[in-house]
Amino acid sequence: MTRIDLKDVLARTVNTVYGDLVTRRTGEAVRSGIEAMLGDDDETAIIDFGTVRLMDISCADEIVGKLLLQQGTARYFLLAGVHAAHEDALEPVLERHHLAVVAEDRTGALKLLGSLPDPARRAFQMLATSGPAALDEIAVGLSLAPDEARHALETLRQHRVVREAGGHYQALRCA
Amino acid sequence: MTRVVEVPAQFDDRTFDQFARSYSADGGGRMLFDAHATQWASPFGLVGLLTAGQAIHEAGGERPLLTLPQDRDVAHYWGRSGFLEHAEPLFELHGRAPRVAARGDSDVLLEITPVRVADDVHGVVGHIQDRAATILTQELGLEATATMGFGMALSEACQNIVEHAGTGGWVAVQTYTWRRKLRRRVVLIAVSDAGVGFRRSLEATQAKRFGDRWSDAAALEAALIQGVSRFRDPGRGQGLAGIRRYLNRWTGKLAVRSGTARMAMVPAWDDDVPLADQLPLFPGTQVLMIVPAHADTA
Repeated sequence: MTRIDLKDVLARTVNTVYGDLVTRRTGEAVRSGIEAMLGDDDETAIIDFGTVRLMDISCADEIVGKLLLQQGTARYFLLAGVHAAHEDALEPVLERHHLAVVAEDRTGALKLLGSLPDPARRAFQMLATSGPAALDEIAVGLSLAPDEARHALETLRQHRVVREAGGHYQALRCA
Repeated sequence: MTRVVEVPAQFDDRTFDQFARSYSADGGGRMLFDAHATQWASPFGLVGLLTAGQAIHEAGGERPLLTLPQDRDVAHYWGRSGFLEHAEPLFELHGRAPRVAARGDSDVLLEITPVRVADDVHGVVGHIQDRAATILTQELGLEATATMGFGMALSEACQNIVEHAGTGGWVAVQTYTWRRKLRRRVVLIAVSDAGVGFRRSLEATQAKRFGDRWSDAAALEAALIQGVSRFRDPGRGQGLAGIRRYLNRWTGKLAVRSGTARMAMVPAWDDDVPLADQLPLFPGTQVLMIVPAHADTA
């Protein structure tokens, strides 16, 4: 896993004085800084918002929106240390671009951000709270038809918010 | 020949059109902005007055005259708010200019501050966060989450200048008691620029779509309601929508005036109209945001 502290990236790419992620220009510079730190495609890149106080929508679009649009089909991204105000900036960006991403708050709880259909959201929530599960376990646990459960899990897999190995699905998480 | 532009006695968003009408009236010659009888001016009025001076300056017009308020307290407030410091290069000031520092007033969260480049937005947001947090939570009784959204809304409003105006502008933030209707404390953000305005900014990409309907009002509708931007990047145009969401959550007010139109998101406590068209022409764009205290807060 590659852990990327946004405050560090901000200090390195923009300015050591700034503490907030605001303006498109800042977002663009920070995104370039993140891209330079990314490891192998299969690694999960954890982008740590824990030290960031404020982020506006323009900056969220440049950092998270464009990062997921450009690299989200090939890489796994997880946002850590996300609080409610970050979510307020992230949600409209994800909805506009039809994207989704896993966010972990400061307590370690996982949350799916973005606009995904309800069965996919419920499947993610089950994986996040109960741990890895197979297709039939998800179908039974959520009272979904097998095809419906398969479609929900495929949606999650395509958005790279779960990993699949040996028929088991696992929500993306930090550790 | 001098042409007099009356600055209203109570100079705020409600009387701004009266000011704009006087400003845009026909007639040549040097302009005299007459504020000698002004009794009160909100940050919205003051940044608008600076915008008028800036527009004349950028058009190559003769430096206008400005008579300062005769009322000593009013003139002092204009000094404390930072207005006089920024007005001096734009206007030939007449009347007694008080010697006051543009700092130290507890109601002024952010003195009138120029916004020209992205760094200015960082400066504004960084400067205001801690004090805004205290005022929003303790004075206005809002939840702590209101603070970050406030910074977001402020940042997006200022970025509109940097990204779209084609020139600089001004921002000011102040808290005061809104006696007229609400009888509660409010925080008011006023942003104004002398730039191209929404219609010219969006003309190349939107005018054809609207056809004969294309106007300042249509441009405001495109930007505020439909979230369109002059940029082809599909991620653009989300800032104003974010401001609307934030103010809606905290029952706040948003009003945007550009050219000859004004569009407002009107909360239940206010009686403004959602859309006003065919107003007197005024340069650039003026944004007003008001966040009121929680109803249970005195």
